[in-house]
Amino acid sequence: MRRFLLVAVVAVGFPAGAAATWSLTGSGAAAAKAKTLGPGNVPSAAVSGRRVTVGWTASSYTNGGTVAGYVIRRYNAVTGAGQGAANGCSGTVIALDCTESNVPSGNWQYTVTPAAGNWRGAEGAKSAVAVVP
Amino acid sequence: MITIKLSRKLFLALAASVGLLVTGVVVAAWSTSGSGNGYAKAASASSLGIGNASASTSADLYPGGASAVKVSVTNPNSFPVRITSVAKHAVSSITSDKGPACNAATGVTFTDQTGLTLDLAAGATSTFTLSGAVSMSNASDDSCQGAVFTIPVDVTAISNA
Repeated sequence: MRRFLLVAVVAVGFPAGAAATWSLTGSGAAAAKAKTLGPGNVPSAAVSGRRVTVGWTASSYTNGGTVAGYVIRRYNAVTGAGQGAANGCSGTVIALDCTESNVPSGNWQYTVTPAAGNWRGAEGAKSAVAVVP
Repeated sequence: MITIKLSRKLFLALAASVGLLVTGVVVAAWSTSGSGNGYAKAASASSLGIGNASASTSADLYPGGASAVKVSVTNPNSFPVRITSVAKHAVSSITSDKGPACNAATGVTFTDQTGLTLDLAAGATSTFTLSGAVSMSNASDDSCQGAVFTIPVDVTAISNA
C-alpha cells in the first residue's frame, strides 16, 4: 500500500508542464515552379485512299519528361488555310500517331502541337504535302 | 457540510502529493519565465521567419503531375527547433508570377505536411524540400507554363534543445 501511494505521489507531483517544450509558428510563402511545354515535331503523313495516317515523335517538357497529348491540324497546301484534323485525329490525341478518314480531295499538310490539359506548346512545322485523290 | 474521514497515512500521502504538485508548477513557471538560465529566452521565443524560396525551385510541375515545394525558414531563437508541420494558410490563395489568367486557374493544390522532423539550428536559415507536396490538375491555365507559384503556408515547430 505504501509503495502504491509513493508511485501515485510521484506521478502527480511532476506535471507535463515541467518538461517544457515550446511550440513556435511562422507564416509566409513556400514556392514551386511549373514546367513549360516544348514545341511539336514535324509529322509524317501517309495517304491511303481518303485516309491519311499522321505520325510524329514525342515532344518534351523543359526540365525533362515527355508529353502525352497532341493536337493535330490540317492545312490546305495551296491556300494555307488550316483547320483541326477530324475523324480519328480530333481533339487531344494521346498517342504518337492517328489516322484521319474521309479527308477531302486536295493537297494537305499536317502539324502537331503538344498538349497537357489546357496547356499548349508551340505548333511544329508542317509535314510534307499529302495528296489525297 | 460533508466530512471525509482519512487515515493518517492517506492524509500524509495526499499532503505530500499536493506539495510536490505545487513545486512542479513552480518549476514549470520558472522555466518559461526566463529567470536566470538558458530557458529564459525560450519564454520570449520569437516566431519563425519564412523567406523567399522561389530562386531554389526547379521546374517540375505540370498538369496531372506532382512536385516538390521549397520553403525557406529562419530560426531567430537561441535554441534549435524541429519543424513538425507545414500547412496551407487557411485564407490566402495560391498565386503565380504569370498574372490574373493563371491566378484564376492555377490548378495547384498543396497537401498539408504533418509529422515532419526538419531540424533547424539556433539562429540558422535553411531551405527545406517538401517532396510531392504540391500537385497540378488539368484545370491549370495555359498561361501557367513556367510559372513560379507562391503558396501561403503556416509553419509549426517545437523547441528541440
